[in-house]
Parts: sequence; C-alpha cells; structure tokens
Amino acid sequence: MQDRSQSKKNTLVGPVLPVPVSPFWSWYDTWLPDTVSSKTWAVTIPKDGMLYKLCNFTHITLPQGFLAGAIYKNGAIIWYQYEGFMQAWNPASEQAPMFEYPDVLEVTLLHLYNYEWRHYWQIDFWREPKH
Amino acid sequence: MTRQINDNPGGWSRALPGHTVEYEPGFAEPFYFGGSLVIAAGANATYTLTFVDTTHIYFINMISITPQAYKEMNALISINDDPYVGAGGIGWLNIPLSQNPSIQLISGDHVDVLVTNLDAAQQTFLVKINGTKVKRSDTYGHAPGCIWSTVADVGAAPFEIEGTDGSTFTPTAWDWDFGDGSPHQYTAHVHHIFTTPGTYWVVLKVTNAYGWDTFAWPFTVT
Repeated sequence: MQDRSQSKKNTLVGPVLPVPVSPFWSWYDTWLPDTVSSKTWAVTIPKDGMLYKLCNFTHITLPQGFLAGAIYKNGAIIWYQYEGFMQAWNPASEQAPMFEYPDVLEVTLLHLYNYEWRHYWQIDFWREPKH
Repeated sequence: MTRQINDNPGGWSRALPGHTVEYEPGFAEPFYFGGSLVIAAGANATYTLTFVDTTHIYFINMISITPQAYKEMNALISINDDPYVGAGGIGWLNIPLSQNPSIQLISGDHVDVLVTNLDAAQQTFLVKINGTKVKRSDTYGHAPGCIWSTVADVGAAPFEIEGTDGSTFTPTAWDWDFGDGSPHQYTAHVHHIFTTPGTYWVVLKVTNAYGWDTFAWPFTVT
C-alpha cells in the first residue's frame, strides 16, 4: 500500500484530466426540403494519422416537430433515433465511437412533412493521435 | 455525394502528448455564470460569456436554457465563433458539453448562446453555464488550430500544387508531408510537384509552444 508520507509533494498529476492533442472538429450542414424526402451526407475520415472520436451529434429544425435520422459507419448503422424537437447523441468519452482513415461516415436525415422546414445538423469530434 | 471535412475550428487549449496539468487536491472548483434574455416572438438574442481569468482552465459541464413558461425554443452554441451544437426543445434545454474533452476554455475565449424564441409572445429565457475550473500553469495555452489552403486539388501529372498555412494561434513550426514519399518541407508556404497519377493526402502539422495540430487534404493526380 502506498504510504502518503512518501509523496514528494501533495499534487495530483495528469491523466485524470483529459488532454486531447487537438481541437474539436465539426461537420455540419443545413437542408431545406419542402416534401417528404431523405438526404444522406458522407465523409471520408482524413488520412492524417489521427483517431476521430464522435462526441456529439445534434439535429434540429425550424419549425419544430418530429425528426428521424441515422448514422452509418462503413455502411453499417450505428445510431438511429425518431424523436420530437431535437435529436441528440452525446456518447461519453469512454464510449465514443472511433473513426480513422479510410472509414466513411454517413448521416441520413428524413423530412417527414410536405411543407418547408430548415434542418440543421452537426457532428463534433475530438481527435487523438494513433499510437 | 462525398464531402470532406473542411471545417476545423481552431484555437483550443490542450497539451502535448504526455503533457500533464498539475493541480492541488480538491482542485476542481465549481463555476457558474448566467443571465437572462428577453426575446420578442420569433426573434433571437445572444448571451455571451467571455473568459478573462488568466489563472484557470474552465471545463463547461452543462449549458441550460429555461424559458419563463413551457415554450418552444431553438439554441445554437458557438465557441470562439465556431458553431458547436444546435439544440431545440420545449420547456427547457440541457446541453451537455462535458462529453467533449476538447472543450477547455482559457482567458480570451468566449461562448455564445444564441436563443430563438419560437413562441407567439415575448418570453424571458434564463441561460445558465456551469462547470469546473482548475489552476492553469504558465505552460498551458492555445495550441494552433491547423488549416491551410490550396489553389487546385485535381490536375494532370506533372501537377504542381501550392499550400498556404492559415492556422490560428501563431504556429512557430510547419511540417508538410506530401504523401508521395518525397522530402518534407518546413515553411508556411510550399510548392510541390506530383509526377505520378494517384491520390495523395497532403498533411500539414503545425506546432507552437503549447501543442500541435494537423490538417489533411487529398489531391487527385490524373
């Protein structure tokens, strides 16, 4: 058992505090459909030697109503939700889905009404170097 | 349609790999900031929180927006003018930012909370920002946020490309990897010639005293 008296100074250091090396990355767009329809956006994770961790996805509309959307990794669905007012997925650090080159990430949204809405969606990542 | 990630909000404070932040036991002091917005029907208003404390690093746990009545609203959170999250709801909004460890705010940073009142009458919205703060060491500051530009990314061999750094927070060193096995270049503005058809990911790594960042972009040579 560690004897506290052996500590050189009464200071905690480090790994408890998350220190990602990189700023977050955002991927976002808007969409203005006026009939029942769907749209898919796709991105190839850049070949930059980094891991991309998904920490935030949101989807809102103006006006508000029911929303449906899905996220795919390399063609396989990893998240789906049908919800009112707002779609949100906020995986915590330990559970954050990871992506790296040449993974393809897709976002598919549904527009459920026959009148015009503005959709806004966004995915935020933090990045860490591969080890 | 395939779209590359082309938005790289810059300027986040973080440390180099292995770099640690020292703090005393009981280090995490809670903080709370808040205010109210009176917003006309269909209009919007912004609550701005600017960090001026040079002695701490701030971690936001939650941003909450509560109207005076059970009403509809949208909100857009931006950090240093880069959109971070959009939110919509009725009655209240709780927006968790703690799940992203990249969000570490220091003096000079600001958070904007843009609230849109979707109700048919004027409403008052209470905006609350809370989290924890730790002591900031002298060596903890803004690493660069890497971004660079080019003129064209598709061309026939021999294809001469150009890269110009536009990173935030003043890089002091540059490292260009052209992805074709050629020697790296170490200046802010570079030219390079691809002689063989293919797809090449060009990666720029920028560094300053506080950390580093990268930005990659593919070039297609026919």
